[in-house]
Amino acid sequence: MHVRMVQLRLMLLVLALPVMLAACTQPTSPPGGAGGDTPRRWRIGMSQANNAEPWRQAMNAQIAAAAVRHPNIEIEFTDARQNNAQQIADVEAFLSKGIDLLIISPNEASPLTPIVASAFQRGIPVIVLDRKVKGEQYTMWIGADNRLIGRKAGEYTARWCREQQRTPCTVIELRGLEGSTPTQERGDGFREGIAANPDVRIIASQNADWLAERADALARVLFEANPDVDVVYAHNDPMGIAAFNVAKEQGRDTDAILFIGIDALATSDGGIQAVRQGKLDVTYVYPTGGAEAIEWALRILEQRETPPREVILDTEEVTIANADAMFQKYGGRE
Amino acid sequence: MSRSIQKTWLAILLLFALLPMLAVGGILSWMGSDLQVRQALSVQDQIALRSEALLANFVEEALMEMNILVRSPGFVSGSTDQRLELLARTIFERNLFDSLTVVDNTGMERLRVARIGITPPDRLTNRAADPLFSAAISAERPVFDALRFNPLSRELSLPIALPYLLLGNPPQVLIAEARMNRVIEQVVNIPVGDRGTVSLLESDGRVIAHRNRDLIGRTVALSDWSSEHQTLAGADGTTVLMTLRTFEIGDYTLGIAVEQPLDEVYQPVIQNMLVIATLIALMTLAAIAGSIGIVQTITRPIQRLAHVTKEIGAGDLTQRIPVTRNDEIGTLQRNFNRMVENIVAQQTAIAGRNNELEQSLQEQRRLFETVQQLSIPLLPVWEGVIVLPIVGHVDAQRGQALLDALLRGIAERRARVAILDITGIAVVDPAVVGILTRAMQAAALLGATPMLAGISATHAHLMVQQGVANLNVATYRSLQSAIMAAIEYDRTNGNLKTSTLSERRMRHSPS
Repeated sequence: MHVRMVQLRLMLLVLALPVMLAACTQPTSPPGGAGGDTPRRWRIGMSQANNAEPWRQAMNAQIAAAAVRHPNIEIEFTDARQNNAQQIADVEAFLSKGIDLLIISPNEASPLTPIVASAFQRGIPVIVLDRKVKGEQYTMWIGADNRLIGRKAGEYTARWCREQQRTPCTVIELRGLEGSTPTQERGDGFREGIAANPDVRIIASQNADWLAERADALARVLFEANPDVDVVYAHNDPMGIAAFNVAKEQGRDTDAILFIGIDALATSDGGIQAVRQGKLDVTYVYPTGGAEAIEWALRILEQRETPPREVILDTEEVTIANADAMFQKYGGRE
Repeated sequence: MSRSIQKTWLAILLLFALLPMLAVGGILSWMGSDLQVRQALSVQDQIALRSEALLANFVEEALMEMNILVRSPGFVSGSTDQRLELLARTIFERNLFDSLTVVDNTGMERLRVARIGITPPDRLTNRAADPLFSAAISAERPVFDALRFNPLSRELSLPIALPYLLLGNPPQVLIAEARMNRVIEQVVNIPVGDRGTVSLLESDGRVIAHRNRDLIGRTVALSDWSSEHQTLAGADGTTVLMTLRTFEIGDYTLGIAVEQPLDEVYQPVIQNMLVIATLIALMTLAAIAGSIGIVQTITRPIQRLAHVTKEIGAGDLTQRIPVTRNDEIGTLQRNFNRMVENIVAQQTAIAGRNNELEQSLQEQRRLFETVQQLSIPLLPVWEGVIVLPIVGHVDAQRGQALLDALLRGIAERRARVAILDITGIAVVDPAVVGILTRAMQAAALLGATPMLAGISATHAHLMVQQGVANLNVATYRSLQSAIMAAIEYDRTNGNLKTSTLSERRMRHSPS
């Protein structure tokens, strides 16, 4: 009986050890919240899934830009290079280093759920950006609604077809990677949007897997097979720009075709610039949530606010009318 | 001695503790490996079943979609445009087919919608030569063909031909290319352990779907297509444990191969064996160290005892054994020390007695010497005259001493007369007379005139009785007279006023 007790205590000690160690590495919170004279410095870890994607670069840039406005934020970025194991290691490194808040844009939901949960269980607020993780073990999710964006693109198409009096109004769709959620949602939303105008008809649809070079090859075949095209709906800007270039190259009247893209990055080869150059007629901002993440991070850390579980970001329509302003707004440089 | 105890102990330990442990470990590992293989196969079976279910579900869904389409009112009784729109909606809304083609009983394409676009009427072709069409039209049931790779969409699609009847018309065939790629992607991405894979094989062993796209098109040499579990060189060349499941889509047979590298299958076993081996090694070390320790607690006191007994045997009785223990060995140590104490005590007692004896002996010797010195006093009574009084018993030894003393005295004193006074002599016997005679003869030889004084009546009587009265020297009754005679003799320079006993007897008689 006595031996059992000793064993039990030993086991408890062994179990408690990592917790105690973890507790030691945690920075101590200032008592009473915002009562100190000097504002506390907050260390934030930002784990990015893949820096190679321009949209994710934009996310990092927006986070960095927002953080610069708050001098008491110290932010560190990691790049998992589209590798789940790397991203898990990145978060573990943050945890052992000691951070006050974690922002993570997960590469994939399931593999990253446990590490996010373990950070959350240690009492570190976790803001998940864009892709979700499973379960409830995170503080909040900030992301955009792809279906909403698709629907807005569809509604714009329906309106444009009516204004242009195209009957029928034929649509070619360049989809993302089949099976990925954004592809599904952007496609379904678009179909909801065009339902308002029965003249709008999808006549061809192919998966270009988000890639401009695939879109280029497919657009050639699609334009060949379908001489009368009124609208090209691309699930992202690079595919739309590629289709525009093919149409131009084939000597089509590109002014007569509505080119729609999504993402609207304010980079030199991004969607907003493409609108300014007339390659795309309209594109939709797929917000990265970078600025919002920093805003919420401060509200959680300093105001001790309990954030909503989900913040769904609204999109913004970019046309030639507002392209310059939007380019400015999203920090684009000439 | 101690080494042999240790060796014996270790041998016993190895035989009765470690060998059984090794045996048990070996058996456990063997059982574990068997279990591991069975477990891996059961997991593979489940994955194969799940894959089959996914594929079968898709085929069923595609078929159902096609059936719904050909039975929908718009399709049955609608215009060509309406039917075309129905086809287009199915293609673009459902995303399930890559193309849908309506073929009449002559094989002529009537309507065709593909994801690439709606085929204009002038581009429609005749499919009469298409075996899929002819099979469907004759079989009057859905017919399937081998999976096709579409280079444009880079997708695998399953050709399905569904024959149907429209009221009052000859049978037509709806030919579809079902986008099976998505479900195939799902299947080949089902995780099988760490490095295992699910792949789809044609009946000739050609890989048509694999997670690693480089392996698509390779042929797996299946030794036996029918057997379910086999170990063979997998698609990437490594030896794998494979579960093969055939999946029938109509007449078309597809193989679902779930494989896992053998080394990965055995990995947990190897790990377990390593753990067991490490444990056994650690226990062996602990047992050896422990037994050496135990044996040494016995052998070390014995070695010390042996060393100390050797020293004591060599005579060093100061050696003691430190009492280090409180057990049987401690008792032995204490008893041994007590034994040594005892020996030391006895020896001390004996040495004391010896000392006493030695002292008394010394005393006796000193006394004896004194007596000896006292017994031979050589008295120089006058210039050239020495007296040797003989007192007590005279034996041969003393006689020799007397002789030595007399002669040394004559020589040292340059004595001309040596008087032997036998007044105090205890017994005169022939031996004593012999000694006296030899002494006087020796004195004479040294040039000293010997005289015998102090012959008592008893002595004389005795000497006569024993026939030794014929001494050829001057004899005197008392020492005084002898000394007087000697002095006179010295003064007269050699005229001895004495005579032999007989002469004197004669001389004295008249006076």
